[in-house]
Amino acid sequence: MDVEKLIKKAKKGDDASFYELMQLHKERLLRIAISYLRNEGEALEALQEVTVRAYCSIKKVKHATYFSTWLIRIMINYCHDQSRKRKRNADSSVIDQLVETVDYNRSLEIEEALQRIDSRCREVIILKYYHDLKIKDIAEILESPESTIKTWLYKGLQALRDQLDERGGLHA
Amino acid sequence: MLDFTREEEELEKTKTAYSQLTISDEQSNHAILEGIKRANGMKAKRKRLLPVKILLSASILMLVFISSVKISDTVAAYAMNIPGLEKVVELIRNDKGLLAAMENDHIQKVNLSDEHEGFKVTIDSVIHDESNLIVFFKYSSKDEKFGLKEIYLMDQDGKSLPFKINKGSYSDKGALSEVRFSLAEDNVLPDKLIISFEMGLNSGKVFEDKWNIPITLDKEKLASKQVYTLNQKIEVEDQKLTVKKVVSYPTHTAIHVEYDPKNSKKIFGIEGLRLEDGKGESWNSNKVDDTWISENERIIYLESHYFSAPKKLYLRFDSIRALEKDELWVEIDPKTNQILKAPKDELLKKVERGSNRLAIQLEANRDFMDHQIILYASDSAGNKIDHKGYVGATLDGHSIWYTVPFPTNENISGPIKLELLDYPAEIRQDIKIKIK
Repeated sequence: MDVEKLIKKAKKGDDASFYELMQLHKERLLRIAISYLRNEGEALEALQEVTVRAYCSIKKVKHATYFSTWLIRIMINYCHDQSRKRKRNADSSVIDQLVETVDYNRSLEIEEALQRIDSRCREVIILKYYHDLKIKDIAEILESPESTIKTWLYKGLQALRDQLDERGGLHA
Repeated sequence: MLDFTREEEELEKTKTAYSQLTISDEQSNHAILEGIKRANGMKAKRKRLLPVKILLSASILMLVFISSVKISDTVAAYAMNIPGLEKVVELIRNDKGLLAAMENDHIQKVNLSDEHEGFKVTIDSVIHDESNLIVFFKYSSKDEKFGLKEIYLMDQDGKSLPFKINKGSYSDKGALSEVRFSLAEDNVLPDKLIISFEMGLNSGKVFEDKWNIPITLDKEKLASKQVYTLNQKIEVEDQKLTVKKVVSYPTHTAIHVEYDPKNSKKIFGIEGLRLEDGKGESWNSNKVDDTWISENERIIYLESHYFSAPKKLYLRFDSIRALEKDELWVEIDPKTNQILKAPKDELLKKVERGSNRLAIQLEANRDFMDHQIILYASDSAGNKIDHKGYVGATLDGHSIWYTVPFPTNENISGPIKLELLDYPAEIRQDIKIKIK
């Protein structure tokens, strides 16, 4: 069944169709979650939470063409919320302190450089290069004009180059 | 335009780190199904709760779910008629102590706003006493992309104050929200202060400008706490605890409890704790987290009975959550993932290992999700296995999977130990003690 029909049925409350829609998107959503949260367990929780939020507001989806970017936007918003939560609770409880020290292999130079650049630019770079999203879709997800996304991308790559140069990286 | 071929190539190389998923289909399908189940449950709950509007929005920082609806209808109906406070009544109608504080004119109407970037924040009113500062506020904007990020307290010179938020229920734009600052006893809240709101875009950007609203607290509205020193000893199946004192404030009642360190069982919590006047009126939990004073001492919060001034007052509870101290450590064989030692009730079912984590399955219903039973794993000598990773709980049908960090590759000689920090084992006994 095509996505458009599935969305129509899901909007009418058909759980099987909604499940099918989530099936189609789960891999990409999980990858995005991992790139933000850097942890598989949390990525699974994120998928559960995004399912809840999407289920509750699927009626807001007007065109089938926007469904994918809409879902990704929900995931990214959730990931932002999570990282803010970590920061805020960093000194308030043991559980959150432990959550703060998320483990992931971050030894690669380019990854470290990515962490040092402006967060908006980093976001655009990650979505484009790690998740193969088009500028048009990224604009949709981040709710900004395409020209702005292009500027961030350009600035990000420039900053990345500066970071790598400074650290005696690629252009040494 | 510069050529970024090399940067792009580097990015391409690291991309594989994100394209290899070790999460199984089964796990991800399960997450989706649980999500659908939860969403269905929430829809039903939301219908029941209308018109109290505490809804989900992507920009919410914290969520407070109201799990039981107990409305003091007469008080709410009365307070509904106080002009300008209808919205506050809607928000706090489940807390009869706060309704009473409002009815007794201990709410201070503020009605001050700050507006820039097309975004407006308004403080509607505040309730404060020696223990809490509760702020009722709302925000609105022309642009859907704006959201609330953080709220801070500052003195009138803009210096930040150390008080932390211990409860918040944030509503959608336009509706009233509540945030509660806990006032630690050793820090004095100045009369003149600034409540500072941090705003941002839903996509993540936070504005450098803050939305600052200076307010002066009305000293007339402050009512002194009442302290009942009890030091009443209680025994529940040989386990001893002491109710040291009950402190009544307009916003809540604080119960100071101490567990005897010599108990054979460790007490994790008290179920159904409430105050009663002996005539059928009771004051229950107000859903604010306990404060831990030390290993064996905590403060538990209930709705306030301050303004009801009952002639008689009793403290009651139904059961305690407790486990034998020699059952507090679970042992696991790291080679076979077999559980070697666990509480006799056999609620711990299974152990699974994933990349850098260890998970254990507990048979319990979803209400127990708020309780984290484990935070770390230890080696056979009891030394904490220090490893970066995450701690969490995931619902799985009629059980909960608790996860702690655990190294995948290192060879750790068994048995591995897990210290239980909470457990759903109840000792039921009706307890009633007289306060006055």
